[in-house]
Amino acid sequence: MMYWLNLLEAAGLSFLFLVLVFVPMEKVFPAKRMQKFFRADWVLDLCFFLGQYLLWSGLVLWALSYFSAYLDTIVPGSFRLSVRSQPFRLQAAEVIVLSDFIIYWGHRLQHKIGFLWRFHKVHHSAEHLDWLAAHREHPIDSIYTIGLINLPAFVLGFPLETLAGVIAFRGIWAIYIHSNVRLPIGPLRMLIGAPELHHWHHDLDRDAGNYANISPLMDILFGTYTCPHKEPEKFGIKEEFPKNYVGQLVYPVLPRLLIRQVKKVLVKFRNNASVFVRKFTAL
Amino acid sequence: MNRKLIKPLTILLFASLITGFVVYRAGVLDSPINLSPNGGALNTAKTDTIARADSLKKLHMMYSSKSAIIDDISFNKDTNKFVKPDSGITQKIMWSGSKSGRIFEPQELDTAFMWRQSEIISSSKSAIIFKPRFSVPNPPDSLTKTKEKK
Repeated sequence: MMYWLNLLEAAGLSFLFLVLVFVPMEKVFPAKRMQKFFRADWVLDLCFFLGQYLLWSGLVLWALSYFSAYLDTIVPGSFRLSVRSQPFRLQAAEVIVLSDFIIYWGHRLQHKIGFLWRFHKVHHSAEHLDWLAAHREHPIDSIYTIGLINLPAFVLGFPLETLAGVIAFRGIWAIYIHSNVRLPIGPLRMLIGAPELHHWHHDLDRDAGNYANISPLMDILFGTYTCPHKEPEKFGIKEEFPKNYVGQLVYPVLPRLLIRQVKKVLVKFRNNASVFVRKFTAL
Repeated sequence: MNRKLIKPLTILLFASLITGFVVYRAGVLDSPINLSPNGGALNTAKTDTIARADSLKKLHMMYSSKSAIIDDISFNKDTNKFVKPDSGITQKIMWSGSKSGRIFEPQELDTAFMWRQSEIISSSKSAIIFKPRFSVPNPPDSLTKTKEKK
């Protein structure tokens, strides 16, 4: 009982804090002026937010701690020793740059490979972007993304807790780049990213670009950087996708054939029903 | 006039909240030393008398058919040496029945959902802002007894 109360407390506090941080910004510097606080699909995104705090984060951390422990057993100690003999700041820079490099390519693959896109499109199905929509993420997508981004630290045995401030900043900035804010920050955006860049990543086009984690340097390096001087007209995906929480969690794990079969049965049922109704009304 | 003020004030609020959050999570606000009223360090450090499981994380998993870890050793990051577990405490591992098995052991659940104190880089989408507070449960009696016998 106490466990759930603590989780609820953390979720509630985080929610209030995020409202305090982002809502004034969204009101004063809106990217989409007509978007309200309680916009369409707000409840769905709230479900994802609560799901992340109450259900999935523990599971994701558990999976990652096992993954990291497994890596401990296969990475040669001599390799870690040679890494550790470098100056601490160099190690920290290596971990951050390698993380950005790996997550950039991992993220590009999520958009290219059908199997990965199945999970990642949950995040892209958001048709309205704000700080709450940032939390729309399938738990398997979270394990993949967080696993990749932490891979260099796991492999090198780097103590990330020594960079707690940097990590906290990256975490909250990741939410900020989804918020309904347009506030140009000039050349600084090349270093820490900005909402206007990430909004274009959420364009209807699946290959719109801007795959980098926070800093767009990797996008510039690999030619996927895009920053038009306006907001995309629409966010979301072109494919059909469930609009409810359970549907969005279950749909990606269902085998495609099963989905197709269920769809066929539903279409047949709908057609038969409409024929029956037509005949019945004709009588 | 009001409009001119609102914009810089909003940015100021945003920047100060983000800075405050980063400072808080970086642990800058945590005082590492307890000070006495006259400024001297208090000798309040307690000796850890509670028997705990190994300081080294033991992994229990099914190995592949090609290789297996024979000896339970791990790399100690502080001493840069490979070390063995510091206690003889072992957990009973058994095969589950053919129909069902326990997925999580209660202790594993505790540590897994304790939201490890060590940091991880959050995904590009969102991050956990405030971690839940958990009271660390007392170790099971069996662990304490094993340690006392030693």
